[in-house]
Amino acid sequence: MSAVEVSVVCPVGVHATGLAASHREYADVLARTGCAAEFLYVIDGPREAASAEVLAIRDARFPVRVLRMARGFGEATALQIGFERARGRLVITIPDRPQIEAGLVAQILARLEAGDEAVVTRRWPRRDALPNRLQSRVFHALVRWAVNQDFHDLTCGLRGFTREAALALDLYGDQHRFIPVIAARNGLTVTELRGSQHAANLGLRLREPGVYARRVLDVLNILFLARFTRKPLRFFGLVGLALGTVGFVISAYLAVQRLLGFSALANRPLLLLGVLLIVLGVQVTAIGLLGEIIIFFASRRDAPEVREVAPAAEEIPGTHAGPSHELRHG
Amino acid sequence: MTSLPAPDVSVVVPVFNEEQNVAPLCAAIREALAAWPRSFELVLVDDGSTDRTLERIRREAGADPRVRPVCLRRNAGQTAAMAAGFARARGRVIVSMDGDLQNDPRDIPLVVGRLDHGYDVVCGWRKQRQDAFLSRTLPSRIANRLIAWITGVPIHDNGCSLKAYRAEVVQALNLYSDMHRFLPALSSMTGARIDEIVVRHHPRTRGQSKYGISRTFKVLADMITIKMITQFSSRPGLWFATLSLPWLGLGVVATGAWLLGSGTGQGRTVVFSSLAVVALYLGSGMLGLSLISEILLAHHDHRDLRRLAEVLTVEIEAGRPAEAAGRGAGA
Repeated sequence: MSAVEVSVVCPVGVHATGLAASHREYADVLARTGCAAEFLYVIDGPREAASAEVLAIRDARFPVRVLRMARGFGEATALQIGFERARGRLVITIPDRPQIEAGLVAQILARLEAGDEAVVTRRWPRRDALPNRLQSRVFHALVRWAVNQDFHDLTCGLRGFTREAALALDLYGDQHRFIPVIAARNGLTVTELRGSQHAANLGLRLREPGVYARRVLDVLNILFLARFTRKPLRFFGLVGLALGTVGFVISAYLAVQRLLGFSALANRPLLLLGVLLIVLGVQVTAIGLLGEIIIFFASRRDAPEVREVAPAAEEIPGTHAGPSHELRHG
Repeated sequence: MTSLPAPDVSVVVPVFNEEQNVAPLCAAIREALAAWPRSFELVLVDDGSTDRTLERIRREAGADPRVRPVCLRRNAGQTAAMAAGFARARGRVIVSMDGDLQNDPRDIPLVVGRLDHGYDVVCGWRKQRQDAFLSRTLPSRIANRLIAWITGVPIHDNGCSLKAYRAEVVQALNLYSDMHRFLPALSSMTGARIDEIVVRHHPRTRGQSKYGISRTFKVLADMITIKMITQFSSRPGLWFATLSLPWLGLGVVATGAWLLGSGTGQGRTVVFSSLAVVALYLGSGMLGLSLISEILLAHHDHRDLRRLAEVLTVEIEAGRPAEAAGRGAGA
């Protein structure tokens, strides 16, 4: 067997459907490109139905590897374990449910071969139910506001990376929903490709209210991660200063009134607010300092990886002073 | 040091000031495992003993190449000693055991055999404990109940040192402070398959016991840590943020009542304003902790957290029926 060039990683989670059909679609496209590929299905926990479906997949063209995690560790961990066991130089992640046309894989591979490190996809034009599109619009508008980056379809699972870039993502928790943002944070130039939406992806999707609340928390989380985890004192210092100033003004106002004899402090509940704001201001600033200390000690590990390039290369991507958030459309 | 090939089983025994027990221990293990078909090594970890324990261990190692001495520079505690032994163990199966001969080495094949039924960890259960009831057995029973209740892992005897592990699993765990006591809970909550088996227990014949009743309180604190680590280590920010929500909500309501009610009864205003201040302070404090933990995590190497998930991930061949492919449901 020739060496594997491309590893296709599929995290199999709660919403997995139509795995056999989608496997065939992706395998067909890969066969046409003629690359040596392997499929890696990572089952997130002991899901019997999904396991049976995955194990029933037969493929004469490509090796199919099935990994099963002992417990549901989440999609982020499933992906990362897939990346670690991937043998290919390039990694394609595919969704566990039909989302987008499989044919896009050929374009992703072409992009990666041309030197891109991270390629994500966007379902466009959207043809699904209006509520779906509205939800997606609102969510992405929030994300755009939060991280100041123009991604249109964060949840589309079809993506491509070099193996190095995939490993460097180091996803945890709920971060699988923000892979393009995290890739950009790692200093990669992320290309977004458009592909038509899968015919089986057009149905109405409404979730329980709790899920939407979680999404809002997610946006806050990513806002924080993208903007403040590198320089926390800039954020906490500002908030702390604002709180402390308001507290100081309130307390000063009360103190002046007391000193001029207008009103005793004992029956002024506003005093409590003034004191609270001053204490909070100091505490928030202190938290920012604590954050800076953490980052100071972690900085050695977080230093950007420097890749060696041929002397002829003019540009060294990923070693700019700051992460590059530039976006290209293919 | 030793040029023997890697054995099947590594028996890891941490010893601290057990000069009288080293030689009998080695003899007992050698005798108990003489007829056993599996090869074994005995990793004796001297936890910075102040008596002649290390000298005795060296003498044993000189006489039998299967005995591998490991020596800690200072007394670092049972967990650290065990972790040091685990890290140096070469067997695919690791058995841990006390150095005071209260565990019976003849039970080693028993626990290891149970491991072959597809478990990652098998714990010994000292059903007939041979210790003072009031100072040892009763506190231990209370602690075990608490551990089972809080962690949801129904093991009767977390404190029994006689346990067998798949080496990969135990080597992937981060062991520190007194965490060895929570090894079953820790590994099970992260997805390992766990079982227990009744083992023999002998009264101490030589040397001094190093335990007392005080540890029950330490156990309680450790348990909260474990609960938090296993459940929230990959998203502590969410945990603290959730904790902060009720306080922030209460703060907002109390502030509203304060603003609406100002001008009416003076006493009520003070109550509401104090409540608002306390609640808002607590809520913001928790929110701050949430953000701090996110910063910590954002700068952490997550390979560390994934190590256990990785060890517990099995590669199953496609085309084989799911039942036959290793780990079943309920793991």
